[in-house]
Amino acid sequence: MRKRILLAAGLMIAAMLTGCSTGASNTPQEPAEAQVEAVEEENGQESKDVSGEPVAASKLLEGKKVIYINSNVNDDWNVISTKYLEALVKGAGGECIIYNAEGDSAKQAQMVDDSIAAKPDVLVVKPIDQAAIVPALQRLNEAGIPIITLDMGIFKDADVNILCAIQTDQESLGAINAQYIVDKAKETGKKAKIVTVLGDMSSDLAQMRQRGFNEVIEANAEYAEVLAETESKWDPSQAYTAVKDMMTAHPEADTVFCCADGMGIGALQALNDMGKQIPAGEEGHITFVSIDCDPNGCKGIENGFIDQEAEHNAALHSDIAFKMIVDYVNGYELPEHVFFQTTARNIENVADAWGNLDVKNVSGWGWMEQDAYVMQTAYTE
Amino acid sequence: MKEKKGRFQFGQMGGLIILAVFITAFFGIATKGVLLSSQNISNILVSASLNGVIGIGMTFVLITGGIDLSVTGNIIMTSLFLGSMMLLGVPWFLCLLMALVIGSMVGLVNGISIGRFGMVAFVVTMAMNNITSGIGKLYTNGLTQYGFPKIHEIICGSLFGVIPGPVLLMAVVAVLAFIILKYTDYGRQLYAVGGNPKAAWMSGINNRRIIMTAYVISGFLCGLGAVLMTSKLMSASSSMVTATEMDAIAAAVLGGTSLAGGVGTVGGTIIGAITIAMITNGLNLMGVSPFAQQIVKGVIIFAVVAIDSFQKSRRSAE
Repeated sequence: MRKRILLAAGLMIAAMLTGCSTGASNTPQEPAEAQVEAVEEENGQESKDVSGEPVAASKLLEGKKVIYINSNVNDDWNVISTKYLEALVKGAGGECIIYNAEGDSAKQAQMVDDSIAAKPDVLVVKPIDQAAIVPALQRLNEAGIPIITLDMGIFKDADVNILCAIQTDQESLGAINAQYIVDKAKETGKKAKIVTVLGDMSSDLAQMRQRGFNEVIEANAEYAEVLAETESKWDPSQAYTAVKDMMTAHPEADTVFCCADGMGIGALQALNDMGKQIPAGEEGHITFVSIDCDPNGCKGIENGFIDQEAEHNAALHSDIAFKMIVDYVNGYELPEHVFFQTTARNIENVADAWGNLDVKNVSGWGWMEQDAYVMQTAYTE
Repeated sequence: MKEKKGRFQFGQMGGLIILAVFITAFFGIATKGVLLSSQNISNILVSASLNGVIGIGMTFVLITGGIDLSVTGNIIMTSLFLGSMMLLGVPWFLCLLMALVIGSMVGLVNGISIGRFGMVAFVVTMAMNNITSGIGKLYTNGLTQYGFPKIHEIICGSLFGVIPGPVLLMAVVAVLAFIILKYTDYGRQLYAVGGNPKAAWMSGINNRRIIMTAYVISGFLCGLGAVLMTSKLMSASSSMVTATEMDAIAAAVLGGTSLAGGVGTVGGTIIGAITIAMITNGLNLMGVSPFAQQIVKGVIIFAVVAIDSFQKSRRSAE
């Protein structure tokens, strides 16, 4: 027994150190591209003999309560993430309560405290601030409520017991776009002049995306340069103004990096109004890279106005969280981390992006076929 | 007494003009003239247009001694309904009309609650902000709407390729509002109700109607704001605008409108909106870090409140 525990711990530590990239499917109906090998092993996912009879899929969470505290249900990514998790939990016979922290880390911490009284079987949280959420999560630990963090984790040294951190590498979302710009500059021999539309810089998420992007650009200073950055607080109308201001101040700018598709719609409209929204391949095209690849991002790529998206798959996060909840309540051990790298989406592979899903019918999606996390609980259809 | 009042108003407007000139000179030099390029002036005016339109509505409400914190929710809800209607194929002109009606209806509910039932404006409009943005999100499931008919873009297009549509719209609204405040009975009654409600009532003014109308005007302009924003972004989402009411209040107060009521001008609000847009634009052009921008804007808001406080203390001394 002791050996098994040590083995499991070793596997989990290995997973934490190495991380895990995902080749998750972008449609619920189709299996994922196998970009990653042996995901289960890398995640430290422990196989275990199933004890007891398989349960009907519609009863997997019967009598169980899940609370999901989202950072801000105010844009397509968060709406889809929330609705999908809610649909999955309800479809499995469970109760799912949604809290919206509205971008306020203090409010989010209070919601965590409030949820103690509701006694959920599992609490899922998408932290706004990696540090501010910690004391509230510690109180949750004391109350014995298991926690799954989604998309954003908490800071490394925090003394909090997390069941599993399902986490996108936010820095990689910026870095992969920066690398695209650098590679393009190397190919064309023309140094890229970039303007950046930042998110809400009081959030860790926005800072990490900016950092990931800028580190790659600074390391390749001969190929690319950031001329200006403007905070737009995830607000498309502020992004519109920001792009107009920056492009006016720096008419030589030929590249836009937008930190989220929610703002991209405003940024692209600003280029349109300035007569600079020209499809890829035509003279005067402004290179445009963004993050999320949500429905708006997919459309931008298809129209030739967005060159690359760093995919940030909302549905995949929720699907994994759901399967982990099922496994946890059925007594299975979970990996401490499922750590995502991102996938670059462009005109060649945008058809496979999650943003092409029918977002108006989230409840009809069913489970995703993905290989980032395989559910261990046996079930019948 | 008249002479004192006139001198005071001149001083207020004069101070604002001096501030605007100072900001123009500072950013003009700091940006090596980019600030004053025609393209950038157009950017500033377009950026100021939404705030200007909403700020005018806010000025009407502030003059009554009230406040309208529902503008962000109203704009979001109206935009989402407007977007839905356009996507459903409802004739475009009818969609615009409906947006103005929806915005006005929200204002009417605010107005009845505050004017007729004497509810506290701050609380009523704050609650209405939540209600309206919630309704909009519920109706659209919080998802972004896009793919509007091309004709919708013309509102934010340019007249003769020179004057941006939003600026033209702001100018028309400003002129109409100026005429209402300056040359109509309603305008005079509005100042009277805001300046001294009891005296206004005793002189036969229907305070309730005046207050209700002010909120309806503010709501109507929110509907217009929704038309503007959806045309500007050619999309609608629940995150499309944030804290619009704060910018509108800042523009109005910077332009000389008193939070205590009874004082305010349309011209001042427009200059206030342009000044705020110029500050944001100048800081963006200079590439000032987002954190430093927060400090600068905070200092300006602090100065605005200080001006209002100073104004009030002078009035009470007089």
